[in-house]
Amino acid sequence: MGRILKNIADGLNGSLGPTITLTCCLLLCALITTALLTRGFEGWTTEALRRHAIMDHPLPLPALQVMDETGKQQRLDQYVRLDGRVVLIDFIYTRCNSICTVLGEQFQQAQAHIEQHGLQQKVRLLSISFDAQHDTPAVLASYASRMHADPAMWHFATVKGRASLDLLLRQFGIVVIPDGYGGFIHNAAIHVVDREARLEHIYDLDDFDQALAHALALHA
Amino acid sequence: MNAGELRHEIRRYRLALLIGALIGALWGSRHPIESRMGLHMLGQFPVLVWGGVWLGARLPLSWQGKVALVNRFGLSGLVLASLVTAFWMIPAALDLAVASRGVDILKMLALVAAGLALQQSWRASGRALQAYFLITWSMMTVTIGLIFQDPTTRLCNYYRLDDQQIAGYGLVLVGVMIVVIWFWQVVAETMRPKDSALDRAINK
Repeated sequence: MGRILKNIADGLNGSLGPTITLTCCLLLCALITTALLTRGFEGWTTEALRRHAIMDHPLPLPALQVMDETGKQQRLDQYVRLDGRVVLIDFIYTRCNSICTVLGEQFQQAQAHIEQHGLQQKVRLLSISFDAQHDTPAVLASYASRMHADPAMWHFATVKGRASLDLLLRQFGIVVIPDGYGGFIHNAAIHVVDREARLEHIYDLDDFDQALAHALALHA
Repeated sequence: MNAGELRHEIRRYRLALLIGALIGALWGSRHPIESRMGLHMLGQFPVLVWGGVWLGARLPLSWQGKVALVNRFGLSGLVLASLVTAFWMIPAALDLAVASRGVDILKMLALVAAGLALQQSWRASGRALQAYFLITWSMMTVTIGLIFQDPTTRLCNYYRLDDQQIAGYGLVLVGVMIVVIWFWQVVAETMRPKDSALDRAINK
């Protein structure tokens, strides 16, 4: 034991010291950089980090112009605030054949649940299309009827202007990429927005019940 | 400046021009290459690391001497290479590199530095340290590759699930093959006949 310690001491006193120092510095730098990237090791994917960030700091909705399925234009934050209900927002495009149809089904189930429990005065649904070019109010209205959407509680909208849409997607952390088949893939989720038009929480598509429970808790 | 002097100047700076052209090509191809996860991780990353190795081999001797002072047994160099390659396999880091040009430049510089560190450290480290770092790197790469193959979760917002799975298969393959190749080299070296002409020349 004594001999091992002596060898280590010799190494440190000799030429190994600078190497050990540099190695320790590198490890420390890596630790700090990784901690910064992952917000203190909270998450290793962008999606997990985005959700944690929103939970820590609810995001006020930007004051962008949106147009709903009736053609009416309004500021997004006022659209939420003036209504007075908690809103669950998802992002869609009506040409979608993959995950968006799943989300559509989820929202159909949500609508059924809301109606079943008489929660229409407290919660509503809003589907925002990021394909403003194709999804005109008429197209959105047709999609709404396909989804059997109750116009009192499930609305559809697009964002006016490319720059505004990019801003909204960026603030929400929605990344849209081509799916290789002419359509799009994005990090679909259910966004819970409170009555003060702040994005409060983000849930997985599958966790619809939890999203609804959270929304009701916010309304109480 | 006449034609002869111009040719002379070009010859003097041809290495710098070549490096400049390569960097330009690399940057210009950033978007098509980084749009596929397999190309990004298994194409661009090795090219950058190899670029670092290439640079390391051409480092002036005085610089190599200074590096060797803080890199006994290649320890700090191997640690740097391991940390850099591990960091850029984190899904959030990959997304950030695709989203931000600044982060992408940092990533490229880091990978080149990792290659340079690797080149400066490999021979100095000896078989034991080589084995340790290579095997831990390989285990990490294979583990990440297997995670990427999981069909239920899309880990990067900028990459499709099928892209991710292909990258996963590629990472497992690379992780395994590099250890196999290294091991083959060690065995071949050990099995080489001791009284070969090379050994006699070395031991003379």
